[in-house]
Amino acid sequence: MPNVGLDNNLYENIVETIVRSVRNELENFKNQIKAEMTENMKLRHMIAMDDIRNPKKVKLESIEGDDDGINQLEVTMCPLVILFYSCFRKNPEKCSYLKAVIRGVLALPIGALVNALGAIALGAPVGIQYFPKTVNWSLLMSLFTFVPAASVFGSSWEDWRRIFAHTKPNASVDYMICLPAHGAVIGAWFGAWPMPLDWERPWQEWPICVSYGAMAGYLITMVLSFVLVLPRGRQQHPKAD
Amino acid sequence: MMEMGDWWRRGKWRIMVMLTMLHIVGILIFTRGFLLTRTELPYYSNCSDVSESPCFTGQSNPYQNQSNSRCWTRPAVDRLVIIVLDALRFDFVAPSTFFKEPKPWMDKLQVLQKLASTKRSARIFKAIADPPTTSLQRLKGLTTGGLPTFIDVGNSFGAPAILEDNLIHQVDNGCIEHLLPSLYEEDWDVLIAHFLGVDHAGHILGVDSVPMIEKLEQYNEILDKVIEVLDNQSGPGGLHENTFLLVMGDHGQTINGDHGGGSAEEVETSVFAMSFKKPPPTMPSEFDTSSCEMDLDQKKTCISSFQQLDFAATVSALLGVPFPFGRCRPAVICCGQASDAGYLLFSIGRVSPELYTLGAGTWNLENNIEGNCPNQKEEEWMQNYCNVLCINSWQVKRYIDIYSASSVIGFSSEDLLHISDMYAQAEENWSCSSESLLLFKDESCYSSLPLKRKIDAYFKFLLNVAELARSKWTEFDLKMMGIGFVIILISLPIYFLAMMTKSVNGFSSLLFGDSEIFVKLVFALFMVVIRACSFLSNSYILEEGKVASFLLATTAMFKLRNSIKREKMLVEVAVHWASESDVLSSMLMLQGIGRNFIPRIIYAVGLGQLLLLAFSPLFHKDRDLESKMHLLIKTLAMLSSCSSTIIVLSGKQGPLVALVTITGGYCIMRLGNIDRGSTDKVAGILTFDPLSVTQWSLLATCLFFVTGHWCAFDGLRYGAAFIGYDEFVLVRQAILLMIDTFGFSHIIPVFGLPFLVARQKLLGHTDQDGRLLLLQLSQMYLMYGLITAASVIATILCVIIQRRHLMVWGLFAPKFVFDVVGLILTDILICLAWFYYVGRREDGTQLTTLDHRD
Repeated sequence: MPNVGLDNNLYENIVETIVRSVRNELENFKNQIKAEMTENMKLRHMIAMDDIRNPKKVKLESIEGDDDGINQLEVTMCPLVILFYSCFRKNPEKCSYLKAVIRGVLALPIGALVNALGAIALGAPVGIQYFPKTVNWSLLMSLFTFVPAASVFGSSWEDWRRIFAHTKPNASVDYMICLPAHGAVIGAWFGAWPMPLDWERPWQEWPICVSYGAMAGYLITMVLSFVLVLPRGRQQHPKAD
Repeated sequence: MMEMGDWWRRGKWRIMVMLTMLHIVGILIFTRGFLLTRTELPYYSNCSDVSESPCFTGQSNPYQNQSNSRCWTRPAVDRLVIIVLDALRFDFVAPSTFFKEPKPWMDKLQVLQKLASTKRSARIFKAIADPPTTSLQRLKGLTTGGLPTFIDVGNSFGAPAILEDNLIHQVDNGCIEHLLPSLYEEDWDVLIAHFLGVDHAGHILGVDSVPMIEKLEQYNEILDKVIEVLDNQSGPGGLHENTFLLVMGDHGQTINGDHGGGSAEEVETSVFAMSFKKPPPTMPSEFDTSSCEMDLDQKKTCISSFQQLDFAATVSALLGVPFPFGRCRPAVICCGQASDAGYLLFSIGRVSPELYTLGAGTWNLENNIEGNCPNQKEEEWMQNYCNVLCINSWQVKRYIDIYSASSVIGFSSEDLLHISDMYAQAEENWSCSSESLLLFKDESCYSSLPLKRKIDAYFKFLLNVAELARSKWTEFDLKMMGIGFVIILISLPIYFLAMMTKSVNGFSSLLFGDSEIFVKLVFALFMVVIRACSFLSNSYILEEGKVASFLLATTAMFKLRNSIKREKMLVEVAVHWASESDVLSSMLMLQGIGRNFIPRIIYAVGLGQLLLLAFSPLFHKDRDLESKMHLLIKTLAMLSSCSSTIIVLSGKQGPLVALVTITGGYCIMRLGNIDRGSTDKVAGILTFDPLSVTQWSLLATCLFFVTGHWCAFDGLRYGAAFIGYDEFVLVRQAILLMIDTFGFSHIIPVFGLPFLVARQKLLGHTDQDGRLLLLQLSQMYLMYGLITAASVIATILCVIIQRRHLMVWGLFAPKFVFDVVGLILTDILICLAWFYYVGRREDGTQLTTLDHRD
């Protein structure tokens, strides 16, 4: 915590405003996606009633709509996450804010690659028609997992190992990186479960329910990490004084 | 302690054999209750039999002296043309006005609809089949008039091999070529043509597809031609003067083209019947259960329905042959399956009045006396029908009697008594013959009342028998199922006990001391439980291969995370990561694209790496590790000897899959080793990594699906049974098929399991204690058996829970059969492997330990 070098009030203010804005953003986009989903469902239903001849075509249409939702979410979340976590970069004396931001931006494709490989190993569909979807999803996952860690820790292997392999967060920032990242991965893992079921819902297609799972896991653990961090912050500061 | 250890070391193989026996007994008992098999009776109905029946009392059988075999009833038709269109849905034939909304595939067989609405001698029926709705069982049910049961192994083996040709429009060409010329020939009484095109189109593209509609239109043309030919020849003295045409489906299909289950779409099929003789008068209205609608041309079309069960009896009655088909001269135009109409047995069906009435000969048209009774013809028809029912009931009664006398799983005595009562009731009233009816003649007209009552009594009897048979042959024996399940369940604690006996003192330290292994054990357990739960849903069973590879990759990632934690061999980890993902992704590619070129290159590169990595440590350490090397070499020899056969059998994909096996197995080994090398385990606890074994068994499951199998009987690769042989010998081909089916998923993994021990030992410890090795090996085999047994138990439990599920015959039952066979095979293989690897050494180690103790 002392590393962060922010004083108590400022820290809490920043955290609160950012959390609020992030939540608002997420809420907005969730609503938007929901609206689109219901629209899609209606559309799908209408088309299904009219013409059951091309179920595949209908499915593709609905997926594209959902992809847009995830896309927009990414585009808005990306700068938010990078800018937010760059505030808490390690060794702020040596490392400028800009550098942390650049690190975060660089980590985005690398993390996406790792996530995509993992997803394919777990059975994500491979193929040209799935390629943009996989890219979208892995960028989102990268945003949840790699980017914050890269912004804060840079290329410090020790810290990375401590967070992701040992799951031993020490400082408050560690909690805010470690828990949501794990939450997102585990959420995505559970999110893949409904995929093989034969309910024939549009959201059962490849990246959609996995993305929802990841987002749900991310949100839950984000809240959890704040719950864990805030009392810690209060406790530690009197001690530092 | 000494005795305990003694018993332990000696009793190890006994435990394994005992577990095998336990599984076999449990499974046999369970199967008894679950799978419904019906004993077939090796009897034929003969002409002479009918004289035993009470139906011709006081007079000799009037039809006995007729030529050939048509002796039971008055033959109503001379010749019969049956055109079976596989998977003919009811709405393919019925006019679209019968349904809520018209669909693109409706109204395509317009020839039939037009005839049904314009001619009185033609009619469309809705036939309701009994599940399982697969062709072979349906055909059997159709021709024998029995209820289908689940296993018809003898017949279905090898049949799909003929059906390799998947091109939809080629399927029926043979049929079309032969059908029309045959119509002009004279040497048959019954002609059966079986068209498979609709079924194929449905399976490949679904009902709502362009090829399906084209196919139906093609059939429309063929039927048009057939009817034209028949019509031209139907004049007096013509070849088809009294021919009866039946166009029928053996079962329906869902919109996706599946069938096998019991949904309305699958069991409802249609029959179009038409007589080419003079149109008969309308049937007595009390037997008419049809519903009528206006069709597209605003003409009235009526549709009645009957149970498919009744088909055989009705057709036999029309032909006048012993029920059901005795030996008439069948000309089977076979397209695919041989429907051997010549050898058919008994029936429990009822002669359907509506179908029977269409046969022109059932009416006494010849001696057409102009009487003053308005409904005399009707009376005569009813008399005929009554006669037929009499023979029908008598035959059914005889069938039931013989069946319950010869079969182990017969009917209960109460049921039999009830049936006898009903039969006696039906018989005791009056005879159908006109002599006795004369008594009730008032003035010049017959009274139809006693006849009607008589017919009702027969109906009641026949319907009751059908209901009883249905309940007996399609119900489950829950008690048996429960007993079998419990017996198999007992094996689980035995596995645990056998695994823990040696390390009772270590167990507590396992639980409380070593959190590392404990976490792994919990994780492994979690994986097994997830897999077990996934069997509850038919979707997960359908995607079982993907589920297994999902879980496998998850465990691999878990292990990777652990190994990163230990800072061990980072480069190697990277290699593993890559190869692991390669394996799994190309598994999927294999499933999707088939034999692609790209995976081969990946595999070749992977294999090169692997060979280098795998064999270099072997050559360095072979001096001081004799026993382990021995084990390793034995394993290698064993594997290389069985794998060649299996690879050859697997055909083109064999080598690829072998590479996948090696890669996967190697990755599991290495990942295990990374952990192993870093944690210096105390010997005597759980001496191996539970996660590795779990991975091993998951890999085995993946391999089953990667090799192109799936848990269904049409998933068997019948082609493999004929590699190297041309002629069919049941036992030999069955063994080959078995090896092909279970080779990669059971034989190789079980024999390859010692690799896990041997490799671990080579890298990790360097102590030469044979006992530890032995212990590890035994625990590993027990663990492997435990995992297999656990998943089979889950399958069984799910089958019990889902026994009323729509897909029980389509999905759960085949899955159950495959799992059960796999479990027994695994048990036997574990025993064999144990003898092979340990057998002799057991005594040796015992001696050395005794020495130690002295």
